[in-house]
Amino acid sequence: MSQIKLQSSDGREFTVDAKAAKMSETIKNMLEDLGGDGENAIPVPNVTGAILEKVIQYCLHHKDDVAKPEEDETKAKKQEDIDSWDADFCRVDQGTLFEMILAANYLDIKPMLDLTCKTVANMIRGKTPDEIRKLFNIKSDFSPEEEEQVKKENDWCEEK
Amino acid sequence: MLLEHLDYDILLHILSFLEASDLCRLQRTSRRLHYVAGDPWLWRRLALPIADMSPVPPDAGFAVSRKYAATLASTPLVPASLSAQLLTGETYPPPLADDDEMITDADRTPDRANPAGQLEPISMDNQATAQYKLALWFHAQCKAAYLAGTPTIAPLIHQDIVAAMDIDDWLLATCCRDGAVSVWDLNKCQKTLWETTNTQQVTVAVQCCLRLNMLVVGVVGEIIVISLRDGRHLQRIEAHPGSLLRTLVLSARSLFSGGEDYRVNTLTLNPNYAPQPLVYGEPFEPAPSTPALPETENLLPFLPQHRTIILHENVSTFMQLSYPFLYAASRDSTIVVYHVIHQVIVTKLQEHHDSITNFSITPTHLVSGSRDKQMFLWTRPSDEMLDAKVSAELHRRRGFTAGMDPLFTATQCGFEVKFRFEIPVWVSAVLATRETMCMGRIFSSEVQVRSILPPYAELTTLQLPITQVVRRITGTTYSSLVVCGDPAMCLVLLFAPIGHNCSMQRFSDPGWSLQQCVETGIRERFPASLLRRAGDIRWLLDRVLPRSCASTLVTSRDVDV
Repeated sequence: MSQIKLQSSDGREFTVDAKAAKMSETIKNMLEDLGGDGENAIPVPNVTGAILEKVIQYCLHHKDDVAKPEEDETKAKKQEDIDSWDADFCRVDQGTLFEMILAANYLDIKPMLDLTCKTVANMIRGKTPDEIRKLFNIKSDFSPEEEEQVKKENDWCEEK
Repeated sequence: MLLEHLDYDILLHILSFLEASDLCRLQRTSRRLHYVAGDPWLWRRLALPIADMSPVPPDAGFAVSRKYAATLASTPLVPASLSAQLLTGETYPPPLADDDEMITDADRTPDRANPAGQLEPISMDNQATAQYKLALWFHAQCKAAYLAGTPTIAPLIHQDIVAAMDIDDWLLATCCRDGAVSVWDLNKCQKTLWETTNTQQVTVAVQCCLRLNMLVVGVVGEIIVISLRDGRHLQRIEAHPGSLLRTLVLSARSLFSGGEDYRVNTLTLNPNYAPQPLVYGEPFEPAPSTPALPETENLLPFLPQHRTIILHENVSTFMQLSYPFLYAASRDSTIVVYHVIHQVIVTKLQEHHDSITNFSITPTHLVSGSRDKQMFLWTRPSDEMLDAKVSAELHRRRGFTAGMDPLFTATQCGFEVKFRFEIPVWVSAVLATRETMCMGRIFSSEVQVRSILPPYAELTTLQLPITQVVRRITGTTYSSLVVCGDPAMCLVLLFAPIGHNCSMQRFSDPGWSLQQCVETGIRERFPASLLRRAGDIRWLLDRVLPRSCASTLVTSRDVDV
């Protein structure tokens, strides 16, 4: 069985290389549980067609990657550079990026979840609170007093 | 879809790629992000690498293990209220049962700020987060001060080669090849006591301990114990007959000495010996002209019985204790790790191929320097883990009699060379601190300071006004203080001390101890409301204060629990 079919929440069907699809722990488990015969499409109820297309694109590109050893959760994560294919892959609007995070989380594709989360983290890095608010369309719901207090409390890490 | 609408766990995952400063700025954007970015898990990850976590089980955060807790509780640094808590074996700092208790009225959001009554009052960082933030801030302060500090050079002059040094809080003891032993007040950079043990004899090993009011000096075939307060000889003990004592290490219960007779000697502290600890500001009384020994044996600091062990095939050159392990280096080019309770050789580090001149240990690393012209940086297993491993192995090998063979190879224990540094001449002295490794060599007046973390970049080079050999480098864990010895001179280099610039003046003011400086600095500069939530700052001082201040802590770890 080298090809399997996936069906997105809006009913679109995709035929995917099995190795690529198995990058998703969720799909891998489903295949093992259902003993998929390659005839019936596997439903992916939480992911729309547009996003599933992105996910498949990612999996096809990375299917032959050597699995990285599991890193210790407590250790500080390295911010190694994102390679150019991955960077291009993440060059999408914010809404899509968040949907991709949710899909990677649901489908349990750790490298893709790390990549997309790292992309968001990079967008936050080095920005002032106002810039962050503007970028992510966040409305401050602090009262003026609270605003002053959180400023005072989080000022210590700014370089002076 | 908006960033804020992502699940808590996913947001945490995103934020786990960020640094402290980014998290702080994020906390200022909205309630939801204030809450998520204040998660203790995030801050713990950032704080873990900088705190002294050696006795801490891997997943307990700042929780203190029972063994370490008892030791902590017995030190004068910890207030009594906390000691009780520590001894109950609960995690310290304790988890907050009720967050509200920590938040005073001043912290609480006034109700009128929420006219619609729809918003919850802002949820403040909990105690753990506040503590991790405090630790990170403190660390950043120390690092900045260290890197920006211009060393103050205050030469403390001896008449011959300075052979050994030891620091305990504000006190520096040095001994000289001509037999002179001096005690210096580091706060004032001046001599407070001059004591000559025996002008005919060479001294190359010295240890001082304020808590025990004791200065221990090694000479040929003898160990001399001197009172710090008045310079009286408290005890003279015969050891290493006919040979020179090369190195001494004092713990809260015993004294180890290594001599040129290739042997290591162990003495036990007299349980009846109750010294008055020497406190800062207390005047030294001049030594009587003819030092007399106490008459009753009960008052002797050490029990007369001693034990001899053989760790090396040559002279022990340097020893350091990280209870329950004795690290001993030798001219036979090995460093032996010896378990002082089980009395077995745990492992031998044998990567060097010439006499080891000096080494230095931190909770996570070991730096060794040798005549093979190399300096090695090793990773070091935590004492607790190694202790457990040794106990398990001895249990497995019941009936085993200890010999010269080590129980494990270095790799099995977790010792691994991470960095090799080669120079054209002998490495004569090294020092490892949390941040840095320092290296001195012969025929050079330089001390190189490198980062102890990859990529081990060179941070600075100290130019010393000396001529021949940097014989010893000693200092505090945060390397705010580096002392170097060379022929005829001993140098004190004071970096901007401990974390904040304003303390320079106070540091040299006799009324201030290092700890007070730090405490005041924290209280003045760290946000008060956050500090209130962090609770008692003693825990921070205990963990991240320089070794010199905590040296009573270090030595008092030698207590069976």
